[in-house]
Formats: sequence, structure tokens, C-alpha cells
Amino acid sequence: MSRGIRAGILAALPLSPGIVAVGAVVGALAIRCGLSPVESVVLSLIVFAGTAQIAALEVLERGGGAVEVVAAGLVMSLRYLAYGAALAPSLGRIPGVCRGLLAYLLTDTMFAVSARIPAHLSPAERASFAGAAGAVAWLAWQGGVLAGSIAGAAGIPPLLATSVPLLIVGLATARLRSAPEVVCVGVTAGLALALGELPGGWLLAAAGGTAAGGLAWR
Amino acid sequence: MSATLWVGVFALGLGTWALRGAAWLSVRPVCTTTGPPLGGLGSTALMVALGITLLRDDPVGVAGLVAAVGVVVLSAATGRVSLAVGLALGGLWGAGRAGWIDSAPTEPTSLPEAHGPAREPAR
Repeated sequence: MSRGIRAGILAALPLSPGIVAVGAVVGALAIRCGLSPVESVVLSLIVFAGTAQIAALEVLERGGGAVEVVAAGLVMSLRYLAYGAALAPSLGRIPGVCRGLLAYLLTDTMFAVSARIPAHLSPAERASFAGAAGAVAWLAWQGGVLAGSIAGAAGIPPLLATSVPLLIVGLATARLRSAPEVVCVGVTAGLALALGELPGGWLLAAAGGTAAGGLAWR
Repeated sequence: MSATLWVGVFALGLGTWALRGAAWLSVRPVCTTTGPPLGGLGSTALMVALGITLLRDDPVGVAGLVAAVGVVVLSAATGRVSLAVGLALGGLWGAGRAGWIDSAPTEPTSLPEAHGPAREPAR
């Protein structure tokens, strides 16, 4: 096993219990929305994006159609564009097939873990690190969704639902180091609280926080 | 689910995959050659905004936001996200047992409405 793969697995493993928990919440939500356990798992295998899956399920629960499912899910997935842009430069040139696989595995977890790739790894080992971390997250996520689908909403401990946003915030801030990042997080949090009532308010908050961080960087 | 909805699910999966992979195509040169590291700041801001908005609507109320502050401080100081989230959930559980917070959520948290009007938080 290469250094990169081993390091990636070790970096992602501590996060696995949290990922399983969030996956279980999403699996239970799918059952509540009327999907069978098999449908829930297949949906998770195809989309493999927690927030997009939740958005799609909420649209389904309200009786929405295919177009609404796609639109809601893609809005939630917009952040992957930024993740990829931030991550890609450190991974160097990657062959086509591996690039496609890494893109499929790119999640909040993989992005957060990959921000702490050891500096001594070569670009190829960095890509292995990211892929291994993504694979661990994938296994944990699908396992959680399967468990939640089987258990159903009644089998999920109440506070697990609150672990979803806490895990997202924790992953985002685990690598806070510079003043612009702190400014970005502070402004974003304030705006998210102030604009939360507005449709798409969280996207406006993120835009404001990014702009504030960019200005602080200058 | 109907066949039409499955087509929608496949389209969502393909679209999400394309967004994830776009950086390895056209976005990368733009983000690596211009100004501040907006890709990193933007992704951090999106995650924080999503998390805070979810907590804002969470039935545990202000306690969830206090827990988030604890998670931020602990995560940033130690890099141990699982530990930070575990301690925060333990604190919320203890607060619930002590009767300091109204109630714990019984259903998965609702997402912020990026595509429609605000709704009542799930209970």
C-alpha cells in the first residue's frame, strides 16, 4: 500500500463514525419519504452527496417532479465547484479515469481531509491520499444510508439530526489558520443568521463571507 | 419511484459529478492564476453558511448555535472534528436531560430553502 493511500485512510477514519451517523439520518429520511431501502441505497450510490440527497428527498416528499429534484439537488451541490477549484492545483496532473473517480468521491469530508495532506507527498501520492480518504468516506456514507434505511426514522436517535450541521461546520473550520479565513467564517456565520429567513439566504451569506475574506486577504 | 423520477435522480447524479469534476477542466486555471484564494474561501463559506442555517432552524434552538461555536473553537484548535462534534452532541444531550433546552429534534433536520419559501422547522 502506498504512503498516500495509507495516510488518506488514516486521516479519514476518525471522521467515519460521524459520516455513518449523518448517512443514517439521510437513509431514515428516504424511508419517511416513501422510498424502499433498495431505492434509498441506489439513490445514494448515484448521487453520493448528502445535502443534494436531502434536498431531492424533501422535494419528493412534497410531491415535486423530476425537474425540481434536479434543480434543488444541483443548488446544494454548487459548492463542489469551489471545492474542486481549491483542491485540484495541489493534486497535479491526474489521468482521465482517475480524475472521474476523484470527482465522484469529492465530498465535504474528502475536501476537509485533503486540506491537511502531508507536505512531503508527491502530487501522485496526494491524489492517492485524496482518493483513499474519499473511498473511506464513501464506504462510511453508504453503510450509514443502508443502516438508516433498514432502521427507518423510528430507529434513529433524536440528536443525530443535529449532528449533520455540526459536522459540516466542524469540517469547514478544522483548517482555520489565517486572518482572512477567520473573517470569512465570522461574516458568513453572521449573515447566515441574519438572512436565514430569505430564500437562498445561505447562498447570499456565503457570497458575502467570501467577499469579506477576499478583501481581508488583500 | 416512477421512471421519470429515476431519470431525474440520474440527471442529478451526473450534474453533481460534473460540478465536482469541473475544476480539473476549465475552472482550475482561473482559480490558480487570479487574486485571492477564492476557491478555498468560497468553499469554507458555503459549508459554514449551510451549517449555520440548518442550526438556525433546528428545534434545539440557540443551544445548537452555542454548540456550533464550541465545535468551531475545538476543531480549529485541535483539528479533531469528530471529537468536537461528539463533545457538542454530548453537551446538547446533557442540556436536554437537565431541562435547559426545550426538546431534541425527532426527525432529520430540514435543509435551508434555496429554492422556495421558508418553512417551519421539522419537529
